[in-house]
Amino acid sequence: MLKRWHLPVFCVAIILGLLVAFQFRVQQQVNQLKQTSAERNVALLEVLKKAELERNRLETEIETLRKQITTYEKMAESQQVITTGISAELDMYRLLTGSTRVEGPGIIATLDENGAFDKVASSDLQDLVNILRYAGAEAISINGQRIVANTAIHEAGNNMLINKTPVNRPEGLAYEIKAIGDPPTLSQLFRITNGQIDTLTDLKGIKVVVTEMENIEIPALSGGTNFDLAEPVEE
Amino acid sequence: MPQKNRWQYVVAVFAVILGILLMVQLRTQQNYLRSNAVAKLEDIAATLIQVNKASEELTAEAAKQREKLNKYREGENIRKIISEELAETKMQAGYVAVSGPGLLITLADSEVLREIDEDFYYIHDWYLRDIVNLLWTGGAEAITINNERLTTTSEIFCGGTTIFINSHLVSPPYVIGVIGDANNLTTSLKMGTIMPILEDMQKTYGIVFTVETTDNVFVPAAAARPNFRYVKTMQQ
Repeated sequence: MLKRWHLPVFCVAIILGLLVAFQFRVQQQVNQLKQTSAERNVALLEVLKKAELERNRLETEIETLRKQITTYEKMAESQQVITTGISAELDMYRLLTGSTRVEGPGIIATLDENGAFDKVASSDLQDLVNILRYAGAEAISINGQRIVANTAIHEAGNNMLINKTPVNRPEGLAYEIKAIGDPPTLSQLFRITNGQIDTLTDLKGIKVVVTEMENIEIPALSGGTNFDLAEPVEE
Repeated sequence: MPQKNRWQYVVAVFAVILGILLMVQLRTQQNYLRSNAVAKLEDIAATLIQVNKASEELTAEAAKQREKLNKYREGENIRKIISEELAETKMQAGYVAVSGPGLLITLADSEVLREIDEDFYYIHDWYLRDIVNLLWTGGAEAITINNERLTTTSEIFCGGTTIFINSHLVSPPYVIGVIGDANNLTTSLKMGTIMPILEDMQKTYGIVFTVETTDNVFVPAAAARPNFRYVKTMQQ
């Protein structure tokens, strides 16, 4: 026997049934989407890995070639085919282009993001490089990337790219900045100038440690500039 | 209304509300997943583009080095090889004046009567740094600001109210001359956040900000030799 309330309950049951069926279908689509994205990510990561291996191979090749060339140059200098002055001038320009591995006294600064409220931004790194330059740094690197004139620092999502290279963050640390120069000057100006470091620690919760060193090594930069459009001008 | 019917209507209403809530929750979850997955994909893609660009440059550099080494091996005139190397490295280091097509970007303080927010009427050092960083990203070959060549050691530093570049005082208007492909440079500028900020400040506070494509930008050589006292090339 049909009671009065059977109808409304029946309708609600239908609606709820439809909603549940709909939910199952959407969930299925979501799972499909998850899987497709995951597959695409994996495929793209593979491509990225191969590209980075290729880059490493090229960097090693360039380093080897440069070493061999240096041997010839040294020979030329010792045999006095070229003057020491020329050799020194060449060396000086190479210190600027970053094509040689260098060493000297200076500082190592570490920026630790663990437990911070916010990440180190590319503008933070640019500002710090600027302060080091102002302080007279003669060579600078961030996580193994030599900083030269045309070094660009920018973020691609979660990646920090320096010299078009995603920098690897050592475990537990975000960034390791090395600079060669007068250690106390670099250390003081780095820590104090413009309150840059205070902003990082107070506003972002990033731990900063600056250490003066007697000797640090800074790697070379493999690439150079291709002057495709710029032509030399007689001044 | 009889007691029996009342609770049935209440149950019905609850059931409908529950259904709606479930749907909304699913919709949100779906959107979240989609945006998360896409973001990660874009990260990887953006990084891949840069790594490939780097590889292209390295391939060219490796070829250059191989060529140089071959000259030595084939017994070419060593003095000639080294003087060519010196000239090229000098150019790479920014010590040769160059010219070529590119952009001229001008920035100047506002002439308008200052009211509150004094800060916004001036051109700050970080505007220049931001722009320069985007230009290098866009493939700039050489950059000058008010005739100061930007090299590895060039700071763009504000000491109080004045900007120093290469330890020289520079005053507004700041003219940034950059040699490179105008399209790539402009695209790169637009990918940063600085352009809309500057355009907005131009409208609101009257600062000068212009970007001009040009056939011929002159970028002078760096003026002062670096005086390196601490850094040394490591002996292999």
